Amino acid sequence: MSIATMVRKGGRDFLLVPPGVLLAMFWLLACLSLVIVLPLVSHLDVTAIDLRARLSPPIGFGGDWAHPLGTDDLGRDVLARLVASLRTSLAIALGAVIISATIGTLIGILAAHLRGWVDQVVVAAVDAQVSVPFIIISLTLTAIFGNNLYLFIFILGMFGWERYTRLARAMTMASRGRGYVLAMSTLGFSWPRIYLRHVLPNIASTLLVTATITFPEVILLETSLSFLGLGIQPPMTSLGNMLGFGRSYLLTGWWIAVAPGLAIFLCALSVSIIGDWARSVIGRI
Amino acid sequence: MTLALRILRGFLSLWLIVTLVFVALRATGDPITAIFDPDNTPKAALEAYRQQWGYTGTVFDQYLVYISNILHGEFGFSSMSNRDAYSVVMERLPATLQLVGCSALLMMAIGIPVGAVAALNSGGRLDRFVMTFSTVGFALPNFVLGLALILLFSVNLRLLPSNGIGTAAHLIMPVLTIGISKAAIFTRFVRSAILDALKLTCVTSARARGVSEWQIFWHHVIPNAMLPLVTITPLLVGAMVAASAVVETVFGWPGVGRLIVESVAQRDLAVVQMIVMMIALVMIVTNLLVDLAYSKLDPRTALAPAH
Amino acid sequence: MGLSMTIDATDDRICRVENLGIAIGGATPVPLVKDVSFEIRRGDYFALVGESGSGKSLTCHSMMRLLPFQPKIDGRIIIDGQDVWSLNHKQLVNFRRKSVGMVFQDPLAALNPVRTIGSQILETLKIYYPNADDDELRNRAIQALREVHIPEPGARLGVYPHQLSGGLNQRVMIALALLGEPKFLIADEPTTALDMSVQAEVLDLIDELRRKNNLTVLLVTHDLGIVRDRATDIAVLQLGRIVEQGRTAEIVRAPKAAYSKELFEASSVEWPGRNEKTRKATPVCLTFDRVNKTFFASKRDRRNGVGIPAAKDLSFTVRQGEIVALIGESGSGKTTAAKMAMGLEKPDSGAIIVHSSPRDASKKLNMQMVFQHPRDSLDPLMRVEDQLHEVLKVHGWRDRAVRQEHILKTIADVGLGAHVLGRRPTYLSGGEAQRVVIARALLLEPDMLIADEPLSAVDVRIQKHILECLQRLRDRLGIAILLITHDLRVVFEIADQVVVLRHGRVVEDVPVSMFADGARDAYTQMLIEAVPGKIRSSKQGRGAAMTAAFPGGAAMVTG
Repeated sequence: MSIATMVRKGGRDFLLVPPGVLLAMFWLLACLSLVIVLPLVSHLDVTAIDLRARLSPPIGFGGDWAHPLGTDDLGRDVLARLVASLRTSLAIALGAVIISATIGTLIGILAAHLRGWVDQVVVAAVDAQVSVPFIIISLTLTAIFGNNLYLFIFILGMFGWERYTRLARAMTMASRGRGYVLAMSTLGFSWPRIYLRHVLPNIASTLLVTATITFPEVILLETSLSFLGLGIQPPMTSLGNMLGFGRSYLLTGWWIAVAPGLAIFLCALSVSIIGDWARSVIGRI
Repeated sequence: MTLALRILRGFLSLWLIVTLVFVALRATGDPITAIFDPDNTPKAALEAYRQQWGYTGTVFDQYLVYISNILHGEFGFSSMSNRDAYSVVMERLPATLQLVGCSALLMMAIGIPVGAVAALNSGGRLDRFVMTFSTVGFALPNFVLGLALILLFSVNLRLLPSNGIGTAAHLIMPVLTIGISKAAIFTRFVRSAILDALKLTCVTSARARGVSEWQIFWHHVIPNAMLPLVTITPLLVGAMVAASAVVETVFGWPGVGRLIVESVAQRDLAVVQMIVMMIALVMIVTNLLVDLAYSKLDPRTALAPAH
Repeated sequence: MGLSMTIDATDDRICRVENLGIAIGGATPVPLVKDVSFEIRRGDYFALVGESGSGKSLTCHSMMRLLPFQPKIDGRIIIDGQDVWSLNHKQLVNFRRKSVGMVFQDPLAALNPVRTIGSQILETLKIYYPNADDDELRNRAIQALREVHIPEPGARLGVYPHQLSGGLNQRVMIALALLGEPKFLIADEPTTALDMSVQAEVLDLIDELRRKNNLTVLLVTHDLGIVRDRATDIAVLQLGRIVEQGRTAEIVRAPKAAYSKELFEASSVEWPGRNEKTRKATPVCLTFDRVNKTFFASKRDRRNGVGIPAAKDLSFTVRQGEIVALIGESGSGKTTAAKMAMGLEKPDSGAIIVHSSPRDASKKLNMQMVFQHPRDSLDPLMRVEDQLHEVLKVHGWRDRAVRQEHILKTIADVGLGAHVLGRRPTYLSGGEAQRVVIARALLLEPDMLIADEPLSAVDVRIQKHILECLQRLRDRLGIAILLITHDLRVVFEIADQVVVLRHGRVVEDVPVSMFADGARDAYTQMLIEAVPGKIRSSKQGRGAAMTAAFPGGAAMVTG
């Protein structure tokens, strides 16, 4: 014990943000501001067709500034579509993470508080969710209920709920067992007060890190499904369906696929890097 | 928990999934009208299908017929290929098994040695390189990696076929895609499992007794590192299944993964439910095997033989 | 081995540590141990003493080069004629095999959980007897287990560590450490993870082996009682530095450094503490009347009635203005009793009567609890002040100024200054945190406190402060205290009445003045004899107790 604490004392340099993490943060901020600012200064028309410039390559490969990232086979501007897709994908992923984190955490705390058969059911559900690949569940639901946006958001909003449930349940139980929660309950505090004012703030950092780690996975799930043609449908555009569409033009217009492919990769990578760093700072999970 | 109880629980999960699928199918309305356009099909033909697939009587009767059909391997009629779903899925299975099997081998061939070396050099330059590779691999989605490989090897270098099945050359890119991306995750697991085992006091105490590093690694580190690795097997199997759906589509690989994507797009429910149940069975059997293996590896578990 | 093994015949120092410094980190190393020097002569029983974080474990691990990180080492460690930190890998392995044996704090962790005891012993024996056949190795293994008094050694070879009790595992560990017949044994807190009654057995075993095998022992411990009883030499570490060292007798008699003086004073046992032969006749606060409680591991166990009894016909009372110590080893049911008293667990049968308040008969008695881990029972994110205010707010104290006044008064009652109010729990010392927890319980003006192991998570010096605090509460405010502890020394210090629990049963319920009169139940007697550091009346009494019918360490966990 004493050695471990001493070693931790020695490793104080974690407060310095490593350059890779800074770079990742910078990229995400750039994406966010691009997504928010660009539509304000120039109107993004994802369906505008420039028939004189079909399959025009990006700058540096023979293209011009009219279409910095080139155009697709219908003459639609790749940059405009990329920004719109990025916006859709990020918004959906963010929304999905918030939904699943909220629901998952509430279920976890409830299970830990109520115990008994409620807890048993929750644990069984978590186990079942873990043992079946999520993409299969989403495919099945899509097959049964047909493809629509609300179902799609519901599916993504379910993704990862079991992680928050499991963590929130375990940590709530741990704090219930011996620590301040027990103390407060003997002091006459009400349960909602204990959970919302004391337990939640104390486990929030861990849950937040989990959310950060889940975020790239949600991006990948959304883009995978959209790529397979089972997610976002035209005329809406997301990074996944843009890539799925560009796949047919690998021979004649590689940039149509490369632009969203790189964007997906870099966004997922940035969030992963930040998540890993956050986890190492918190030092648990 | 005893072994018999675990097997019973496995059957229970299976039954639960079959029932869930039944409920979900019924929840969407008359399954026959979902398959056939009621306006363009003769009433007699519809009735014949109802009889054939047990869509008559009360819901409970239908449920019993449904269960008995599934026990007999009858999953319904594939509207997409006009054959029974069972044979449609079964003829696609070998291709997927081949792909997933080769990918799993590649994943382990990369993951185990690289993860072990990274753990033994923890904090060093090699370790940081491996961790970077792993982070990148984790963030690189299958379809992006697959398309990148196609762009490189098929479009630019014209070395490998981008689509189809048949020769060993067809196998290379899909296996690389799944193998590399899963190796990125697996390496991390191997590394952290070994790292955790290295930190155990029993390793320190063996070292204090002067046991050789080689023996410590094989007799103290590995047996303890196996425990967390065994438990993540179902996770990896699931990830493989998920990856095959995407990668088979990218490379036009005629396996079950591509079949489910096509069936979902066409709403061919018979095929979808057959595949879902098959995957459920695989997952349940995997979990059972993992439980068994774990009890063999860890004498502390309840399943372990008593002394 | 060559030169490094040559031993100067006139040099009786088996271990020399010269100006040892241990630091961690790259560019700006953080020093953990600074300028530590000591010498151990052959046959010594050398104790390295300090509180947690003093660097004692680091020092002894560095003597085997077993640090879990890449340290920056200054100075030299010379053991058995070898400069430990300048050995190459091969020499180092040889050094660990031949020169030193080491025993660790938690025996269950120090043994590989997934391999049998036998395979771990055989693996080590093969190092020393590479040419021996299986039968010979097996016989040697059995012999080694017999040396450390493990019953049925042959049967134990096929058993996994988790199937043995902590005491037996520590014996196995000692056997393993001595397989290479080293002349020097390093024991790093060898009894901290064990029950009190087993601690003495393990220490006696080390004593016996020391005599029989001419061992030199380096004992690392925070327990000054052990040191006083057994060690020949002491070095006291504080914050990575040695503040005092010398022969045990001299240091115990007249410690020079202020820190060691404080340490020894804090650990000394006044024996016995109080003299009243009869119990006070104050009003009763809490009564346990034939309370039963059994825990079941599974539903099937519940059906078959195979459970772990936490309370069996448990009866005792707590009266106003007295401290009742509820003592017992882990698993004796003392914490369950506390939880039942607070209403956190329901008894299976019997009655727990919380009487009306002795101050106002119309009101129910107000009972509060103090927990084992002080930092853990405070919300780590909130300032102390806010947490104390919240307690009062929940109980309807509206006026902030009135609350503040009450809080300041209570904080003073537990001997703390107002400066702690602005801090978060992380910035409190262990003792401050525990007193804040006590203050929080006192805010609601309880008639009775239940304190569950309030001392076990804090260092010796701080224990003293908390005991004084509890004493003050009893004497000045007349609060009844049910003190749950496994440490008999605490009992002698402040308790009025002692209740000894074993497997959920009361085996003793007497005033503390009669507790140590030698006429108690055999189990109690053994607990008393096992207390390290007390002034022993006679050697014979001890021996008799150890052979009593309670082989706590030899009991095998059913597997």
